[in-house]
Amino acid sequence: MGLLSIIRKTKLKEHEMRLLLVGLDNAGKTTIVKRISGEDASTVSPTLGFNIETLEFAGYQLNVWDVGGQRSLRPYWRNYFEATDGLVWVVDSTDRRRLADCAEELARLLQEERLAGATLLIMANKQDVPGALGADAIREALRLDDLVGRQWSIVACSAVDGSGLLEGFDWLVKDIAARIYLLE
Amino acid sequence: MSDQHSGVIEVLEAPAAPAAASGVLARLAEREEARTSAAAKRLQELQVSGDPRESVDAFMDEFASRRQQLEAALQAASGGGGDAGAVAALAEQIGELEKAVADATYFLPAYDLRQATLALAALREQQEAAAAALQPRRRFAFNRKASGKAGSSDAADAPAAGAAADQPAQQQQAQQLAHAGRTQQQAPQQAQQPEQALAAPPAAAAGGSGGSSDSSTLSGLRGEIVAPPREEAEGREFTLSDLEDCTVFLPAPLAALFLHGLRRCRVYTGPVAGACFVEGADDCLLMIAARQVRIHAAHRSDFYLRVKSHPIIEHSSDLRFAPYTPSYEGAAADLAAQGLDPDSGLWQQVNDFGWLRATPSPHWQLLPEGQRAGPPRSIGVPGRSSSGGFDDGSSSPDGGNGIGSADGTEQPSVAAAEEGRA
Repeated sequence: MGLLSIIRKTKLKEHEMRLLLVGLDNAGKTTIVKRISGEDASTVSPTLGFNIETLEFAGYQLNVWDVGGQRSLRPYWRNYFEATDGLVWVVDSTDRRRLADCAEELARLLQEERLAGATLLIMANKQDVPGALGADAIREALRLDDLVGRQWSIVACSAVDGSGLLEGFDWLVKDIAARIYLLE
Repeated sequence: MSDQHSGVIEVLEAPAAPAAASGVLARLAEREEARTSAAAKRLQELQVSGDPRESVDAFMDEFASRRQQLEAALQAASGGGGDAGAVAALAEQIGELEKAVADATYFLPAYDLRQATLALAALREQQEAAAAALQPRRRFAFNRKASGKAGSSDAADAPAAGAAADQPAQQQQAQQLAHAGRTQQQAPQQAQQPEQALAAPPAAAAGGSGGSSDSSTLSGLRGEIVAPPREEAEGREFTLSDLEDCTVFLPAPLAALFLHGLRRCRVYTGPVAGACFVEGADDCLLMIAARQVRIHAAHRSDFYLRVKSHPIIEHSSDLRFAPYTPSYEGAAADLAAQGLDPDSGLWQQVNDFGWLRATPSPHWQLLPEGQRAGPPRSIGVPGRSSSGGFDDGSSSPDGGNGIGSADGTEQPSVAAAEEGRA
């Protein structure tokens, strides 16, 4: 019995997944979390530090770590990398000016060894805003097609009207489950 | 060889007569022969098994020559006349050399290895510089609209990217925009000529927003007053970037608002449904209602806010905060529609990401009541100067600036507002 199977067994027992939600500031990370956990998202303040939200989803317990994206907080992201099963990268689809920034930060994040095994979900948020970039444009801007050895998907969503959120999390949880729990 | 040895033995034998001595000598000669043949054999084996590629000297020689070649080629390329393909090919060659060094790490002495790595890094740097010189790397930018005024959104990105070649075209575009702004500025004077005012192209004021586009950009203006009519701005996402000495009125509910690189500007907006993102604002007066407000790299500016959450500041200094004043007709209704009607009072609870301590942040303060500027003086909006423009401000606490829209002189009223800040 290898170490991997021991880890799998403990995870299986707990039925837990650890998701890390990151992205540039103003992407809508906290609003997404509030939305899927059914809380009021209209009074969300920019995150000073981080929030942890525990959700029941598809029979799994999701521990969602929502870490603030302000420039001064980004150096602290690495403190949250350990044991991450799923990485959710949230993009403000209306912020064309900082897309290059966004691509750069994501590329830096994906080089991180501790996140090497994590499934990646890109959420192209703010689709409710007229003129927001579509998922294809975001995919191109973040050069997602160049990723190798990474399970990833992109979903166009809106934390305001809720579209695309479940779809995205559904894919993420299924993918992680298939990986960790070997498709029970 | 054996002849020579036997010769020696003979010479030695001559003085030593006894038979015992000759036996010793024979053994010695035998041993000597075995030793030399073994040495020859070892040498031969070494020559066969030893990989010439593992010779440090040979490797370093080859490395030096390849490095010199690359350096010469790079110099030729960066000196002009080189094309991008050649530079890219050089990058590949450098890559090969890097690989060769990596393969040699196991037998290279630490010193040589370090020298080689340093040399490679220098080469890499030169190559990148040459590539950058040949082909200035543009920041990623979308051109959503293939034609028309689409350039305006690019204009925001181009200066940062340093794409010098594109500047003239964009300057021109900015000029066009500036011209559009001027049209607006003259609008109050045209109030008595409604037909003419109506004829003023409202679309131009929105900074190159085509009819189909949902986001609008105002960029590169200097000393302009811009006020797109309500229907041009309503429900839109707005970007104001690289403005100097400008006054911008957006008297309508907006979807999102991005402000980048404003200097000595005044911006008055209706409620923003999403977030207002400010990056770079010096000596500005910004009156904004929004769900979220993020302020980055702002200095010596006054913010009149109404927000549903805590405003945040980062890398900023000398900011002052005051409450938002509904300043155009219908503002109260717009605010109510966005759930911003009763002021949450959060405008005074600013979070400073650059000051994570219990003591108050030195980067911002409340603007004392007596120093707060009143609502903006009226600005005529073409064709809607009576209904769609900003209210004349009868509720203004500051009675000093008594110049309204009627006489159409906008400049003094702005100056008066400036006094309010000073």
